[in-house]
Amino acid sequence: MKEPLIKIRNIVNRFGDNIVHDGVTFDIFPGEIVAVVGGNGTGKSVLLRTIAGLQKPVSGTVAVAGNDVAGKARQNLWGVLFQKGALFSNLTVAENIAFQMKEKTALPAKDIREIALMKIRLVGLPPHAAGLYPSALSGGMTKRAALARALALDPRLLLLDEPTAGLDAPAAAAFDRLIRDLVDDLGISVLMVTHDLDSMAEICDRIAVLVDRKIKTGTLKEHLKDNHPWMREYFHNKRAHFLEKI
Amino acid sequence: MAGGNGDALMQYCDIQEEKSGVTLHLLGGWTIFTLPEIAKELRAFRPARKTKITIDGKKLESFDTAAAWYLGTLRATLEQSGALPHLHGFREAHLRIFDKISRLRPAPEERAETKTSPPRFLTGAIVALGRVAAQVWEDAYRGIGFFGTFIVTLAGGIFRPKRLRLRSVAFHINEIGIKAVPIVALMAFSIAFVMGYQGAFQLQKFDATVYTIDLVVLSILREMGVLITAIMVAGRSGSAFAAQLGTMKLNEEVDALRTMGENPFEVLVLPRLIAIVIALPLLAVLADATGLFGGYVFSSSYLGYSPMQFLARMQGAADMRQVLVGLSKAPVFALLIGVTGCMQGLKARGSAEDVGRKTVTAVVQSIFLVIVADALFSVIFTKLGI
Repeated sequence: MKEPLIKIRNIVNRFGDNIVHDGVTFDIFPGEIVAVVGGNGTGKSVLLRTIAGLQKPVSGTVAVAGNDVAGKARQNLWGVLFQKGALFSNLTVAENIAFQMKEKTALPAKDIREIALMKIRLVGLPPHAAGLYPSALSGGMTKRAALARALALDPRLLLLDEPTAGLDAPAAAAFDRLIRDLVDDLGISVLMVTHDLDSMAEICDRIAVLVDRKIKTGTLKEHLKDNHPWMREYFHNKRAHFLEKI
Repeated sequence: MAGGNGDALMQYCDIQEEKSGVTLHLLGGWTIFTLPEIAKELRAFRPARKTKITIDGKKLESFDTAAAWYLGTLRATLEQSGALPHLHGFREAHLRIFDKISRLRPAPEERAETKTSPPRFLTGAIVALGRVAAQVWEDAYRGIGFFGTFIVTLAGGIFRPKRLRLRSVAFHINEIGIKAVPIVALMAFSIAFVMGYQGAFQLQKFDATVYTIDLVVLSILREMGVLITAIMVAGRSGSAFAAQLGTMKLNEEVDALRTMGENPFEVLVLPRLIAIVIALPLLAVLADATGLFGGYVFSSSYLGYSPMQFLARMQGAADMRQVLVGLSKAPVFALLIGVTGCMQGLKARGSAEDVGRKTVTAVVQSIFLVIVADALFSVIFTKLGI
């Protein structure tokens, strides 16, 4: 069995009296896409923020390939795609992508520009997007530009917060394919919060379901057999009906 | 033949020359972080034409997209200089990254297109000047239109007072006027005090310190009281108008109003303009009063005047006309500030950053307009002999 890339152990998150996570434990392996699903308020985004180091858990650890994440070098191990992109509005797309490269590497400006252009093509944006400001981008382009920025330093894990939310069906499908291709070709791992059942069926290797403040991981098929009331509701409702065919 | 210097410092590349050609072994981690070092090691690598070059990736530990891009560039440069490079022994995962990135390389003609020359200095300056001129013209044009809309909407509202939204007007009078009372009072008091201090110091040379009161009273009533108030209101409320309306515009709240059949100007702009036209003159009265008080505090503490002496001197220096000259400017300043703030706010588009930019523009423009208008008033009042 492969060594996990990220080991999440016994995460407890609490806001006041409200316990969101009570011992969340799972692994992410290299080269796989894991979806995080759960009802509203079950702390999907909180879990993502915890793994990204933006939220300090009450207890529990997130260990990256053997090292505890409390260390300082952790930023280069993952890239985060925020729900609304979070592109720096005063920088062009190319400058957004180049930002971390300028900060963290000793590369000459010319190389940084070339690599940024390469990343723009890597995520399927047209070359002229390089000079555009985020306010001039459509929803799909914003997601792609933000993905290119998340990939700037070639992280080993991508954390995606609802990557296909707000995209129309063809754009969402294209974005899903892009993520799958990147994972297969670059050998990275992805953890994504999603409500998109299509995404789960099409590109995700495993699904982590947040129920009862804990997490259940498994493939879609395994979850379909689960008898937990919320899981039945979620995976067997009418809108998810087509999944049974898989 | 080849230029590898072969010393022990080569950490990422090992160049071996044989009869059949050159083998370039890639070592360790080729990532975006090590690229600068790798480029340094390969700087002197200039194999002769027709050399067969084997790029061996067997010993690569890690390989990312930036390294793949660099290797692709290296291969292209080698080919251009006539050498014959080929890849050998790469791990499948690394080869996949390399292929993926290689497919993304732009064709040469596309590459040329992405290089845009920066505008020349002189042309750039002329273009910038033209843009500013067009912007000023557009702002003036829109500002006049805005003012006209205000008058028309206001006139319409007089017959149907419900449309004037008096609750909203009252709310904004509280925001613009009542909440600004402490700061305006403090500012006017301090300015009067400072003017008295500076004036007395100069007038002392002519043994005319008694005129300090004339100086303070006249400048507060005619100029400083209303000017200080207007600048304060521009900073407090002009900016608030621009920021509030800009945010509402971006949040599509303005469009939401429109779809409900409401006139955004009537709902958002009119109450603010009515409120500022009422509140700013009242604040100016307050500024006059506290300014005079500041003048009194100065003259009693530094020049030793009693309250009665101060009052007598003040009445000799100024009459009601001076007060009215000052206050007559207040509604004009109020409109300039209100129109500029609301107009800039509604011009915001795109991102939150633009709201910030428009807020700055609103404050700078309204203070500028207030001072220009004040200068015009001075000329007019002088010509009329008031």
